[in-house]
Amino acid sequence: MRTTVGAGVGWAPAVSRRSLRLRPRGVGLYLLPAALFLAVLALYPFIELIHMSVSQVSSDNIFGDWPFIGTAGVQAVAVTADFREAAVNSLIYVGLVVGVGLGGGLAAALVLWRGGPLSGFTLALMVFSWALPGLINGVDWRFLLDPRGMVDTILSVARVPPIYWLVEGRLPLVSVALVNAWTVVPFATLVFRAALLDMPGEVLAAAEVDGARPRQTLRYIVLPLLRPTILVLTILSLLYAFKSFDFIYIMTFGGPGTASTTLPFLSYRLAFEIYKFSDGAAVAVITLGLIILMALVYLRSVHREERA
Amino acid sequence: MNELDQGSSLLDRGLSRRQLLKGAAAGAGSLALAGSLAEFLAACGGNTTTTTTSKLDANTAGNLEVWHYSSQQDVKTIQDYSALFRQKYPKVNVKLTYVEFSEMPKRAIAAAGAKQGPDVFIYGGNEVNAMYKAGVFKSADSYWQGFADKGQFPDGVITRFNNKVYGIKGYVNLTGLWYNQDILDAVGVAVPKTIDDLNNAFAKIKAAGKVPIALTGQPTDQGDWTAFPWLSGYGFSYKNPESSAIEQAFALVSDWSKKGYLPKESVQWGQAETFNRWAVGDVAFMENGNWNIGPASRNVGSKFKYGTTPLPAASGKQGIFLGGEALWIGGFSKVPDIAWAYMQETLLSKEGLLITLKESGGIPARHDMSGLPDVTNNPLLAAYTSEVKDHGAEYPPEGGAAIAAQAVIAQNWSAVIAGQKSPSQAAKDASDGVKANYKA
Repeated sequence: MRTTVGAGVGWAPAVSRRSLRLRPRGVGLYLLPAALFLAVLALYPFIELIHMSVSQVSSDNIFGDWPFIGTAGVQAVAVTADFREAAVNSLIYVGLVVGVGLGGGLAAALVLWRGGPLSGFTLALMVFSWALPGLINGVDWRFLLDPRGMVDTILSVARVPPIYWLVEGRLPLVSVALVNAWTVVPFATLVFRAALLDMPGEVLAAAEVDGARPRQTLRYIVLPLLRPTILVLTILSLLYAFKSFDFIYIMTFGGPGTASTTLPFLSYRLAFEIYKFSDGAAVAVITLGLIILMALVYLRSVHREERA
Repeated sequence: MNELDQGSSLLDRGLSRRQLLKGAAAGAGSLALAGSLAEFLAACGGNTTTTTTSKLDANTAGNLEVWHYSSQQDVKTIQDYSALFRQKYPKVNVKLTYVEFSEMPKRAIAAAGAKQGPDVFIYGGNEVNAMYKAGVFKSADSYWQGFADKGQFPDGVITRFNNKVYGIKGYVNLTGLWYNQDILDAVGVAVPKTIDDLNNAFAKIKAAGKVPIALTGQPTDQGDWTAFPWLSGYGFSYKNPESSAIEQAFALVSDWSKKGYLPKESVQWGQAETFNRWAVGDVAFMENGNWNIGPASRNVGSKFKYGTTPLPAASGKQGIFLGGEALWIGGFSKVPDIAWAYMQETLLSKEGLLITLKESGGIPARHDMSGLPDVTNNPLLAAYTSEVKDHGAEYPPEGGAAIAAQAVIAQNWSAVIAGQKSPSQAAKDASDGVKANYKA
């Protein structure tokens, strides 16, 4: 039997007790646009990517039939020297972006925690640098890190010889990763600061009364309480760093040689520089698999944390 | 057509009498250049078939979209083409769409997937083969066969796929060696003719506190373009990628980098950045193209004296890519007749090629323009015209089929300059990579 609450006053429809407890009728209809949007812009390209990675596709047949080759293409790409180098570069890159980005964000949040005359201004500046498109940030930093740029010019005052930030050895990869981490810091700072402000004051006050030093408070009170935030930020930063492309494209184009080529950039080069679309798709699929794997590991950690 | 006929024709199209008189005077001397360019370009030959021509007139109306990659610095040339075209077809609206050079093939292929695209492409990159296969271009063969001036163009500037004409270059561009005369005078070195001369000059220039050379070390097709003259001079070709030949060229450039003759940051420079660095005034040489004649005049002016000379060659085998922008009819153009008329009136016409020559230094491919004083009397062009004759090489190499191999060369060229790889390791990687990625 259907029991109604009210009688459809004004614009509000009559709602059954059952539907009130569960969900309003027709909610699926409201979700339809979002579902369609995702299906067209996310699901369809994803399916096409998988399809391309198990097919033989080049500029010869990009708009024709795609012969099925199964996982042979993915296997062949995964054993190439280019792939191995890009995978190692990706790990270094992701490690730096996540480590420096979160470490810097936490440090900045701790400094800005208590507020002060400059904290609002500093936060606004950080948000500004975070909100700037990667393209603009990349171009700016490319000029700053030029041997005739501002960074080396300032260092030369201290008689430091020119540093070839975007040229020598592993430095280009490290430099681009640090610039990328620099854009992660503001976001991490905002999230960490919000978590710090939400921290129960009585716990911190009790620690102070018990004579805990700041370092001990940080280690035994603050960091454990921040653990869920750290985990979530780590997942987000990992995903962001692993798929990062714009800074590498602008600052080094994967070079010199292939020294700063990461997996997403290798995928781009294969697909759009030499038109080996299926090889590019295969690298993208492997990258995607790694991202999903990492996300699952961390989600499991979060889940365990919540249950504990 | 004799010289007088050429003169009448030029007058009809609005050239000044002074230019014509100069052209006539220079006519005899120009034959060598005409012959050399035609001789080389003809060697890249092809076949011809029957003819058809569309009829348009001043009342023809329509819209025409042209994709180009001329940046703000030289977009005036493209605008002047359109103005020239509209003199004859005033009722046709021309929409110029800028698409960044490296993005042009990707956007064109994506557009072709949706059966769209512009009416005309102005494009001279190495990805034409991929674009053709994706249906980006429409064949211009029927128009070409009916084109009255087709005999003026050497076969080497015509791109054919499946024996049909698709793209036509009205002019050629190539790289040479630019020098800062003031630095050479101050250091006391002559313009180098050989690689030994160049190395000796570099040592003196470096000792004088100046930067010896700027060139492109990017791991892109621009890097490959820059590297090819040095590599081929030692015997490299995409059909014959011998490691020993590559190693000699890599050892040369590695030595320049190690000794500080070539700034390591050149691995980040494209051709435009290379020019900008040289134009500062403290760099003695740069490897760059004739298209910088216009920008040099505007940006260097009287800041320092400069000139051009052919790139020193390790041997007669040296090849220098002959670039230049070709015109193509868009594969999904609804007005291909107008698109062809645009091609005909701009980069295939004398007036259009004069615009290119004067504004950017592109060497006209038309036989009947080689005697013009703008070509023969321009000392900056002399180095390039001699290179066309002695070292001109087809671009893109192997009809665009070596694109993946070109990427391998560019990456290793970049790695050697940066000191990431030894010349021998880079040569081995490059040789293996070319063999794996290009089958002749």
